[in-house]
Amino acid sequence: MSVTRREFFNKSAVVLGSSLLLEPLHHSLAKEFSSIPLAKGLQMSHIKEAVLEFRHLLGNENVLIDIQKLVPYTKIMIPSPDIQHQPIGALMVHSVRDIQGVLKICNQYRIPIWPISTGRNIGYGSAAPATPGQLVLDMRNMNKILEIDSDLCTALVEPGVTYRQLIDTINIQNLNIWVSVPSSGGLSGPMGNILDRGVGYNRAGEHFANFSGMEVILADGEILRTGLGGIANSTAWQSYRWGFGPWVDGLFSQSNFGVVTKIGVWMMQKPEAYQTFVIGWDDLEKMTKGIDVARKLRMDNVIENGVVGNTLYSTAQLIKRSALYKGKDAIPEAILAEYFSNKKMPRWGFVSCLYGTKEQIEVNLKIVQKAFKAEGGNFITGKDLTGDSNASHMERVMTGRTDMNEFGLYNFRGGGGSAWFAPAVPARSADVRRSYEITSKVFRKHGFDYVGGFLMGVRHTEHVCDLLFDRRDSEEMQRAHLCFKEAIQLNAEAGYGVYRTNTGFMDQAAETYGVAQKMFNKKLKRALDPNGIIAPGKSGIFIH
Amino acid sequence: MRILFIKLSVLLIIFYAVHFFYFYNIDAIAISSKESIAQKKEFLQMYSGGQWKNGEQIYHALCAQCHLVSIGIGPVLLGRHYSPIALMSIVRHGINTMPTFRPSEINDAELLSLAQWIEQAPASLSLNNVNLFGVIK
Repeated sequence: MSVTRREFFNKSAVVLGSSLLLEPLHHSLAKEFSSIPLAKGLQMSHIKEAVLEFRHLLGNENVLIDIQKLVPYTKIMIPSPDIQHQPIGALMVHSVRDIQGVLKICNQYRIPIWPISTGRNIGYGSAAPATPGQLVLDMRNMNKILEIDSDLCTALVEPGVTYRQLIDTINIQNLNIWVSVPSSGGLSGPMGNILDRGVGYNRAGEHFANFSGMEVILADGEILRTGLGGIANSTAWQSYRWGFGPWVDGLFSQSNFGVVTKIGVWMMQKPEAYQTFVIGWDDLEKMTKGIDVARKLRMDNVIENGVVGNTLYSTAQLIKRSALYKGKDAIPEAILAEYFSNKKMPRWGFVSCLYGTKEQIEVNLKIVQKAFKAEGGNFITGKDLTGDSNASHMERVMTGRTDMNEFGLYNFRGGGGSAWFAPAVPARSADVRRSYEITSKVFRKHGFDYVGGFLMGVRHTEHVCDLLFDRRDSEEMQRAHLCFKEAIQLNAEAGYGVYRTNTGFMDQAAETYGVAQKMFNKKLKRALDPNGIIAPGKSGIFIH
Repeated sequence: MRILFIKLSVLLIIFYAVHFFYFYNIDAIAISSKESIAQKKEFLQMYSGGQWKNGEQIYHALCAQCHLVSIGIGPVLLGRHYSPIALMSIVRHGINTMPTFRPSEINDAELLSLAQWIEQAPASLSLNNVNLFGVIK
């Protein structure tokens, strides 16, 4: 029996809405915690005492321990059981002082906290912790844009600032600045994306290479400003990254050594002109040769960005899978070939955007066309791109705007399952081909479609593909779990380590990087956070 | 003796003030000696729970990114008169592709305002694009 969307919405209200809005004001603490797993070694009596202190510090309204109130913190898309990522509560903080107070209480009672900025690491674990029983430290309300320097194209932001907020603030002042955004830019924010080493699309797209200066609250409550932030009245905290002595900023990326509360964001100066172009290739062979061409152009700075995408990636943003294939296994190659042939679409596409003066673009466009001509790709630019929604989306995100178009992917298979698989691969045809073949074969073996591509760095690519699955189907979720696990393992065996992963696979990813790195991280963790209260399990790092 | 006591008290107050300023009130430290563009209130956009102007602003800054007719990632919401309580539930719980929104992003009062605005807004607004400031073109 089919249910209309409106019926579904209104039925949901009966089940969920009343409990959301009409919940009792007072529960007993025992009842609140009864169904939530506690972190290892944590005692209920300690939590009860700590909650009272949190309430005194932050106010009742900012301490969420009712299980209904925690629901927004628990929706994950990854192939990992919800219960493994169930927080015990959430604390909404508004200032550095709040965080210092929280850390003090957490140290006293040995309660682990999972800091989030905008909590939009969608397909990587969202706002939920890596291990159950942690308190989410929600910094979304710390959302001041403390400074925008229009000369140097830098901004100093707090954790809760979103890309959209930053872009709107820049545009309302007509500043000549373009922010680099990831595909989730409509909801996510720069701090979280930089710290997780995310990738955007314009000249400043390698986000961890485009920031300067952090403010970090260490586990003992001390405040550390990195780089030139150590100088009183520093003038170059956001423009010179390295400061003096050891550069420690990397320690606070993908880690649990502190809570970052301010970060300097580098943005792109808006150029006089830009020109988007697309190249289509009909087969894998031509695409991988195209990678070599793109790398040479990238190393010469003729091009400054670029994405090589499997055409199913862009198609999946626009149609439902059932329009292509109704089977539960991976879409057969013959069906894909026929579909794209009928649509007169290539199997792979490369999109980039030239920036500069009109004269520079004219020259560089000729260089680019000549370089790619040898590989026989179909070169499209200018008016010929008009009306292509994917090209339009790419042009938007490459020119300082943001949209959510890539979220259309999540409707392709449906069911709310998504896990971004992301090994780092040298920008060389043989490596790109190998990583693609390993990954697509694993996906196909487990019944999933390869929906991905390669984001061009200078010497590397981020091979990013989205494992889409129906999270409502337990058998399919289990397959997705095995698939993701095997993809990490086989890519690592071939020399391709994931540069980032979701909260369900951090231990495994850390294992692939070897014992020495793991032990080193543990030593740092024990030194900086001896009670292990900050985000245990982040990147597989624990004190024990 | 009295003067010495006053002097000591003043010194003690200064010591605690400096200590408080540097160690507990870090947000108050000037970030830069020059005037900050972002700190001019008329320019700064604020998009967190407790900061939204009204439900309409939330719709244009957040919901419309997926729910416009021209985008179609999520279903069109306007003109369908969905029950506010159902909308509020979906926002907090999410469904499939639809993510959840926490009270730190949209507080309960703002969520009610959003849901009531969506219930009453005409369908025609779903056809329009919005500019970057959440104002309908």
